Amino acid sequence: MRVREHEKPLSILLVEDSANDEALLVSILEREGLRFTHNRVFNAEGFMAQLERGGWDLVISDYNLPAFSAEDVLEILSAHADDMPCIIISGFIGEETAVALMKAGACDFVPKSNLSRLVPAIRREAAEAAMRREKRSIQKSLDHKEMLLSSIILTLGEGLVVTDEYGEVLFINPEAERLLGWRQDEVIGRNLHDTIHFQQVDGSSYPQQECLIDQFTRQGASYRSDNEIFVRKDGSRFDAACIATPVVEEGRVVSIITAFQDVSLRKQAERELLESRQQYRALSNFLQTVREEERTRIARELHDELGQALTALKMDASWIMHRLTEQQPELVVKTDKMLSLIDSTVDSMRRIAANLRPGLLDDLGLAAAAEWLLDECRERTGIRYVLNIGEEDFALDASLSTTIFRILQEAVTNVTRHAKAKAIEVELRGEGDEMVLVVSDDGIGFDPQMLSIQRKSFGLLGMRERVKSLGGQFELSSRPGHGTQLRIHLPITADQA
Amino acid sequence: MIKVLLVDDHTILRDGLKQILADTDDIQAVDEAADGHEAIRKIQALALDAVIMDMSMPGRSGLELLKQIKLEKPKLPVLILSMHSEEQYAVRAYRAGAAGYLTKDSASTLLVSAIRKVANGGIFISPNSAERMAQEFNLARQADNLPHTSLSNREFQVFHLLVNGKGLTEIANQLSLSVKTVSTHKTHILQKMHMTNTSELIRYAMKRDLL
Repeated sequence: MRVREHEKPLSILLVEDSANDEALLVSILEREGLRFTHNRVFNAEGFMAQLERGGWDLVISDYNLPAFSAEDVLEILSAHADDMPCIIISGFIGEETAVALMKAGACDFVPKSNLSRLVPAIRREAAEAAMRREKRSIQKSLDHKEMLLSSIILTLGEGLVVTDEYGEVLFINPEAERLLGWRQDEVIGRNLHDTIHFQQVDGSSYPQQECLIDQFTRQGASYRSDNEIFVRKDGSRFDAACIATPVVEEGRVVSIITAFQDVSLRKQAERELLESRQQYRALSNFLQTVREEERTRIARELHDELGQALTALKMDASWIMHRLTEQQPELVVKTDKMLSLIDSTVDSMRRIAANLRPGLLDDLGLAAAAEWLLDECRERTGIRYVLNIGEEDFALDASLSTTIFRILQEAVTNVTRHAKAKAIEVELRGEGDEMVLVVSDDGIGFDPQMLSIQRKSFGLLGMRERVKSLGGQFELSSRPGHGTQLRIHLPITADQA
Repeated sequence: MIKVLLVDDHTILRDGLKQILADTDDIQAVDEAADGHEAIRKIQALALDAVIMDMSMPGRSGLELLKQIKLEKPKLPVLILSMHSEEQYAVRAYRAGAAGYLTKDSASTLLVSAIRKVANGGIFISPNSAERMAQEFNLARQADNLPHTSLSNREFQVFHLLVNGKGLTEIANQLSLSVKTVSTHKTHILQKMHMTNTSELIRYAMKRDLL
């Protein structure tokens, strides 16, 4: 062992007042084959200066020094060079002195009468010192790592709890103390689940056997969740995200490390976002409903009040026309113009009312309204249509037929505006407890991914939102050059928005 | 004498209809009803040759009332009057058993001939509805059945000028007729073709390249 230590020449600091003794020692050491370098000092100043310089492996000191004593040497060593081995050489000293010297830190004591023991003693001490140095260096590095680790744990912005295999708390870090309101000394030995993790989202308690952290880690698996409820010492709770990792030794879970964060703010923001989305949908639905009701009322009044009045007016004007004679050409012309004006006014009234809300939808149902819409479109744009309707009429509530009609209307408008289509195919059918609407065209199509970037298509967004709010599905598929298809499924039993 | 019942919830409309019928010698509005119940009661009580009723009635839909009338008196012709000009209404009215369908604004020109037609067991139908019904039953319409073929030569001349946007005075000057005569021709054209107004004539003419 320690072969390498021997290969390197030892640096020996010799404390000796006599040059002759030095020469004697050197010759003994050389004779024994020790490879070494040395320096001799003979007083405290020289000794301290050499120690200061450093690089020594070993001190050999004569006991009898006129300038200072071996005791002084040992004292200086213990103060300035901890763990430097020191061997004392002397003539005769008593047992007591020897013991005192050993106590003061001498490693060995070699009588001048038996110097043959010196080299083995040097070798032994040098080897032991080297071993101690190595140990110290390992320890130092361990200490350093531990310090690093513990300062990480102490300063970590994440709560850390270590439990044993039964879930009893062994350690919590300061962040965990802060988050939980428990001090480490209060919580050590307590069951982690029963102390902080016993509540479910709805506030009810549940036992450790049902705890997922427990179930996962027990089988040696990590458990990761951002949806936990942790309870503080004062009983208040917070949303936590946690990662629980089992520590496995020799195939057995020996402890569990749980790292966690308080995510209440994020959760709160999520909840608020969700709530505001729901409110936004409800508001949007409400506005749509109100708008639809308003339009229905105005369209009806146009038809019922204005329409009847105009009709009566026309009857009267016609009545006058009948009674005019050949001799009243100016009145005939005037009355004819009046009749034309009434006709065009009736046409405008009808157009305005239908644009507000087609009476067909309420009077005849969705199928008739769809047919009318496509008729109008063909009349206006020349786009042919095929309308496949499952049945003559659907027993739908007013809100659902309105929704489907408005979506169809928006889709048809989109086709006439953008698709450059020659034909539209519309399919409307009941399928189980769903209504299915499919609108396809043979137009130029588009890249659906570009749609959201290109322009704000509120019509489409509105359709999508409306369908979503009724619990339906909305699917728009298209490819440049291959037409567009809109497919909508709406549950018939949907809550009326 | 053709005895008819007027069913409409608008007094002003009923008055207008009565006024139109008052100008005829052969049609008499014997009674009127403002809602479905009253209508059914009077249909059961009176001897009628035809019923003229509004499609949109308070309480129940006109179509329901129509079906009930056909149930009570299957042979009694019912002429539907409506503010709605969409063909979908007309087609459904015919399907439900109506003998005729008229928009209210065409009543002043078409009502009398429509009542005569349905009271005699005929069907009064506008060209557009006829076309749609024919499509529905996959029938090819005969070209000689087209409404404008029933016009006299003079009437067709007037028709042609009307659909080209000429006014009464212009037509009168061009054909050396009085404006009153042209106006009468116009009325006859509308009646023969079962149409409501000049713009309908124009649409018809455009569709068949008669401009």
